[in-house]
Amino acid sequence: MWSYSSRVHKDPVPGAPALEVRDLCVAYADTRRLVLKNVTFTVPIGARAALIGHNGSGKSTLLKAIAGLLPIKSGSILIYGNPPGACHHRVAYLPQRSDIDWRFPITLRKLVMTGRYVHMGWLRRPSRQDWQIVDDVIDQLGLTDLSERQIGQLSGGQQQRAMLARALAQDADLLLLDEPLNAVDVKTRDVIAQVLHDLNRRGKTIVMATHELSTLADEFDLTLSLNRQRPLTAHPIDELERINL
Amino acid sequence: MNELIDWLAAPFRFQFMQTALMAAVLVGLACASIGVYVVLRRMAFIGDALAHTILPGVVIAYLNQANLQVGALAAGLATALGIGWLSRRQAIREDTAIGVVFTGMFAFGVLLMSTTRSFRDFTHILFGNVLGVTVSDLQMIAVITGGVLLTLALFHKELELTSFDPTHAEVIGLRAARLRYLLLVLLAFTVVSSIQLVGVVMTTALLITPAAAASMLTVRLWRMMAIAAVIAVSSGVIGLYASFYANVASGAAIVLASTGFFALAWAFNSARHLLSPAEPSSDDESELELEV
Repeated sequence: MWSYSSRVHKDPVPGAPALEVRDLCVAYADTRRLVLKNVTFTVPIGARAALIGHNGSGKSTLLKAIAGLLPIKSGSILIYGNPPGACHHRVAYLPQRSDIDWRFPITLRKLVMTGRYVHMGWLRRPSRQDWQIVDDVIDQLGLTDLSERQIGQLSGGQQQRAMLARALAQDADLLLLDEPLNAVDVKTRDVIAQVLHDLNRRGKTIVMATHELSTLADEFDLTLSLNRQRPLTAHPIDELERINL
Repeated sequence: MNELIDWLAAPFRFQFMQTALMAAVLVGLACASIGVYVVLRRMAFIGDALAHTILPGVVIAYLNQANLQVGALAAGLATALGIGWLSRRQAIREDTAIGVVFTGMFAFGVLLMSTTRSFRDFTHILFGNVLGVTVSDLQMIAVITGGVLLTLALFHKELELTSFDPTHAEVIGLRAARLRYLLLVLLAFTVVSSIQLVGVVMTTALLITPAAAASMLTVRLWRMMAIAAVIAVSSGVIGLYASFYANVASGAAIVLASTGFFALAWAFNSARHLLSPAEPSSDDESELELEV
């Protein structure tokens, strides 16, 4: 009854994959030009999917559409069998360049706590358990010493880890990560790799847009290749060598 | 020492000064706390517009011998919702739309005023007159302040989140636009209560200046609101003494007092930065190994 959206909590549809996208078309609001055209793919529960493609191929648009931030022109998106927005807490989204106001007077610890808001809804305050979860993920991302810092006083890599910490605090089943490794320091890169490994071990599903093709084989189960000229193709990772990117 | 206490206490032997003091404290509290959001969300211009567009509502109420505050409130709410609606359709830039609407409404109010041939009756609407606050005014101010503070407290976490990260709010199903409407409505109520003190022309000062001063002194939201409240209330009290002893316009004195506080905060902030220029703002260790 406290939930932010009017929709009621929905359980996953039994047997449904984590993510099922069918004939998806998405257009820009202003120009009506199609960014995504007839995109179809499936990501099974617990899989790690690398979303690859050139700049401008629509990787970010696809992730935003799945996160429910963009209207769909045609086709369908099903997340654990339900349409986007049916169950907000199940999907966490880490944007590539967030529009966060980093000068806002809020500490890292409270920023991460906003990941728990979807579970609280209106009028409710964070419980002791919520703070425990928040402090645990902050620790996992190596940010404990910085948790009382104002968010603008963090480096770029620390901000990226803070954003990932918030996505983890949400305890979502499907994580949409838009190039989290772009322009971050070595330490952040290592921490994120460790976190992805841990998420996978806990059966979470990950869709991650990335440029880094060299490490794909170790860290992902399948690739989703977006290309303007061809329909989206999904490949098991061992076929990667044969795909002409 | 006793003389000082006498000097400070003397004004408040008068009933109207007691009423004025309570009004200044209550309005200061409401303006300062909502003002922090207005400053952080860069809504200063909207606050100013809201105050000015109240004028025709007041004048129409006056011409029809209706309650002035009800007229002000109706105009304020209409503007708040109108601005919210205008800014959602993106045919025209928001600040442009506000500028057009607010000067138009204000001019309409002035035009109506000029038809009454009693321009003087409206000076307290334009420039405020805290000494003229009646007991029934005070009751309304108390209800507005209570309501505004309670609403801000109840929806604090949502207002905070939509202020600094509207995208995340949308992802979790929280509609940022609705919180914006809520804030605009609260702002309309606050502005209506503050025109009693400083008038439509200077109401923005009470919203913006204490909050802006506080924002230079701390990076914690609650502390910012508390400091802004202290500055706003102190400015109100200083303005009261000034108008009692020096017989100057109370609204202008209140605004100038808060401007003085802002100047102090600015000087303090500049001095602090001069003394410690190499603040460890960005990072300690990992910035060095920033990669390709």
